Amino acid sequence: MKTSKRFFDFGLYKEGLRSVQIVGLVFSALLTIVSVFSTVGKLLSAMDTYEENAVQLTSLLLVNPLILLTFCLATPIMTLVAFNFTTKRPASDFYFSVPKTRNTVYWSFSAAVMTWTVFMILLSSAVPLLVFPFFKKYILFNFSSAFLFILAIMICCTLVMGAVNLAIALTGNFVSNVLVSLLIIFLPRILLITVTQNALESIPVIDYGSTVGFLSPYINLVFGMIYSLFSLFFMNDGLGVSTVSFFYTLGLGLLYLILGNIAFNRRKSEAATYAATTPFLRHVYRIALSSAVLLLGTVTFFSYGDGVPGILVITLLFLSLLTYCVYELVTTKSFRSMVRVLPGYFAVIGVNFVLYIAMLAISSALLSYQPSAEKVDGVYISNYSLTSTSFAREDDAGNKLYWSRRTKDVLITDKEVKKIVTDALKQNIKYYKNDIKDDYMTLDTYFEDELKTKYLVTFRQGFQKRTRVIYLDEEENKKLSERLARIKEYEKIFTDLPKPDDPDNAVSIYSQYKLGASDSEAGTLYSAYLKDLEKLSFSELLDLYNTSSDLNVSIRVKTFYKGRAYQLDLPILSDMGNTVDALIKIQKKDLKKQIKELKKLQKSDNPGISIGFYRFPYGQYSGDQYNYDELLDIILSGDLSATAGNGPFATVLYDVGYEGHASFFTRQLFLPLSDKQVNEVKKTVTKIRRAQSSEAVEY
Amino acid sequence: MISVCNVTKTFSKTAALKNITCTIPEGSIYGMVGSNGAGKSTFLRLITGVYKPDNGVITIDNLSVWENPKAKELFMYVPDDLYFISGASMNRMAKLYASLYPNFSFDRFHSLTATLRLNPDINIGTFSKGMKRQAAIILALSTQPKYIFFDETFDGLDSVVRNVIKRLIYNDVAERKATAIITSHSLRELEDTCDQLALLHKGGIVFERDVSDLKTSLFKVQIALREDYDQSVFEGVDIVHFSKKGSVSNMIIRGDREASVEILQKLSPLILDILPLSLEEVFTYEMSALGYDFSEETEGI
Repeated sequence: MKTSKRFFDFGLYKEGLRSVQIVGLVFSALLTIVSVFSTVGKLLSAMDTYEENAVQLTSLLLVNPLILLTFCLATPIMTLVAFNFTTKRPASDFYFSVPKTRNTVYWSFSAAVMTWTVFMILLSSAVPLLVFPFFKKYILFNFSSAFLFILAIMICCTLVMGAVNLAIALTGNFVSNVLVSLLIIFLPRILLITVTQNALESIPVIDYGSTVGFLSPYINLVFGMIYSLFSLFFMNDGLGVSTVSFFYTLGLGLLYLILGNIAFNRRKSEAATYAATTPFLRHVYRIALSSAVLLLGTVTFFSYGDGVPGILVITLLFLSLLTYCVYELVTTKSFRSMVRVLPGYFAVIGVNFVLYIAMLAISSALLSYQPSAEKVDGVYISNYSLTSTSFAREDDAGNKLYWSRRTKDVLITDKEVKKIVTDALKQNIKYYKNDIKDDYMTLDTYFEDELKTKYLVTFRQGFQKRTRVIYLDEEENKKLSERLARIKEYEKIFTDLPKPDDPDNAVSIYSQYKLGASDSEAGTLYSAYLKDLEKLSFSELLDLYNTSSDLNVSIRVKTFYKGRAYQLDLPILSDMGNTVDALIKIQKKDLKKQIKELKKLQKSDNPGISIGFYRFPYGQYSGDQYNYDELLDIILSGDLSATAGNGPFATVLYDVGYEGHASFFTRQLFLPLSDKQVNEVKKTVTKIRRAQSSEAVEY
Repeated sequence: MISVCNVTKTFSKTAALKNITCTIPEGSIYGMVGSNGAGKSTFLRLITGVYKPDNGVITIDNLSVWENPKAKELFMYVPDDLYFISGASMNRMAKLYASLYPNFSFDRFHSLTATLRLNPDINIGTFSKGMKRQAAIILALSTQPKYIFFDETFDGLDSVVRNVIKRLIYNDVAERKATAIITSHSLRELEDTCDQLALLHKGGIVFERDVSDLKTSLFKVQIALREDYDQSVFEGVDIVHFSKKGSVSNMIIRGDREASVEILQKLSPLILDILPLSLEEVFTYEMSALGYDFSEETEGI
């Protein structure tokens, strides 16, 4: 006699594979076809627009965005199909009477669903993974991020499968399977985020973005991906995937799978066709779903108080009640049952009342934190704009930001600094409570007419750390900068930047336009940039890091700190002599070719050329953009082998590959200007302005 | 051997089975009869491990059934509501059964489909109700189980097919020493099939006996005497039921037939006829003797 297998049976596994094969094959085919077309399309586009140094970057998500359908549709559908027997009494009886344990049935079918999921992910990912390495010349594909992305998608599928499994084990018909699955996947995080976000965001001294970890929507990869679904396609590697989110999502997925297993083992076969395995659970699902609908009204009321229009409250109450009734009607198909459970709607109001009280309590507890300088052991200070306002202190591509990390390591115990920030916190809370709370304003709005600098300050008291946003006026800010400049360890963070010749550092030029510079030349540019920084004071450095580049060019440095990779973006400003000269020099090698290209473009009907002037002696043209190609002749008539030094220069933006190409990009040229050229430019601009005085831009 | 000891199963405060105790020996056909809602299907779902009993113990060959694949490998269950994978043919179902039951025999499967003239390649969904039952029985018998449980299985089968299937079950019992439990709400259905019969009533086994004993335990006598008489003249005979019209009496008598007839002969009767009783009549009289009133419930039996 065959030995009993407690958790896995190959026969059941094969049966599971067979039962979901239609869904598996359809999605595998769909994803793979899209992947093939997209890969070939990307490749042809890259070859079409190829020039030297014009390699295209792409990612798995950009090649095959439909891969997200695996966890959004394919895995849940396959899970529902595989465990469909639980919704029909004869089928349920059959699988519970076969000579296998319930554990075996559960895990064998789950393994079958996961096998199909992995198969479709790998099959559709294989195309770009196998094709792109042969075309490195045209297209750069980040393999390590691709593998991480594949892993992230698999983890998402595990979470979704676990949630659907749990829902199936707790319900007895298809409609309730689907509704409870959605509840399990989304409701806890929606509740958590809605309650905490509203409680926290209502307090201007709290930076919701700094509430890292468990409260971040992105910590749950499934929730995070759907949360940012509409912005996904504009990111390179998408998703904001972090190590924490990997482990959190995987852990949650495994927890759901195990809970599903326990519920499946305890499930009674007679629960098939019923909305829930027990009447109590049916009430729970219905109340949870309706509470989520009403929660929108509760949080609006919390945020705007009496200002909430009555019609909104009534509408949400009606929608919530409707959800309550429809859920009962759909899942039980009994009108009498719907009428019978109506008094239970008061529980929905009760749940929302409790959540409202919870938000008030959180808000009150957070505002009550106003420590005195003496009670604080030390503070960690970061200029607010140097830390990302996105969740978990990462940029869109999931890179951890350098400044946030470095400032975390410097505990400032200076009494004066502590006094400045604790006084500011008290003052800010006072403003909030006395002046703006009832008007539902933020401190940003309140201070919009005053010059205030925002800082993110973490107060340490013993083992406790609390992070708050504080606003300092000009005088307080000056005092703080002076004190911080005296703290060598802190100053060093901003003055002692990663070295350009360190092989661990990767330097690249980050621009929205094509500059014709390679990464090796980026190192030269960075060295010049560091020379320019030497002339700046500590406060000027902080100001620089806080601003954006007026030339739309930054130097991006990826570096390691304490064994982990971080990224910092350093803006290039037009008044940086060494850096601009380095940019001009870098471009020289291909300048003749580019000028030829530019002149050819100038003759076309729609040249699409923009010109900007910088460091003009009279200052009046600096930064203005012109679309008049007459100016181009003046700019190109100069000595193209010269550098700008600290003198004026022009930038020329023009579209490349617009005609006869599938796609195009914009090139940016930096060209020095002589005094003679400056005068000619001035005359021409004045002439143009006079000619078109009615449409002239205010200079 | 199947042993059911003090088993109780309750659904939403309603006891479907109450303290059921019975023993089903190997190599027998055990019939369980009862009206709708008596608990027959619940009993089978309990002994197949679909339900977990609230109280009591169920063992098959001394193995606990609940969540025990070793015990479950010993039996096959053909429920009243049949399960087939949507759109599946018998061949597809055979593959499923083969992956679940180690003793599944494709030879037997093909032989049985040929015997019952069912096409194993076509969608079972296109089968008639009776053909679906035949398909389920073929699949079950192909697993060659030691114990096989049929819940209202002969419903919807024509008499020819019913006899074929009964013969197949007899063969399994005779040749492989298999044990079958057959439930039905019709006593007539089980009368000529079972070795043992149990009557399930309102969640309890009220009566359990060997069919051969049952058939010989009671007999009917029609008697007429010369002079007027009443029941007291038949002293020494165990009368279960007595009725008299004119000088002719009808009696249901329990006990040794020859000894009873000898006593009656001594009364020099004008008429003395010994009549056989149907199993249905035996059941009715036995249950009346036990004090059960089945006037409503036995209408359909």
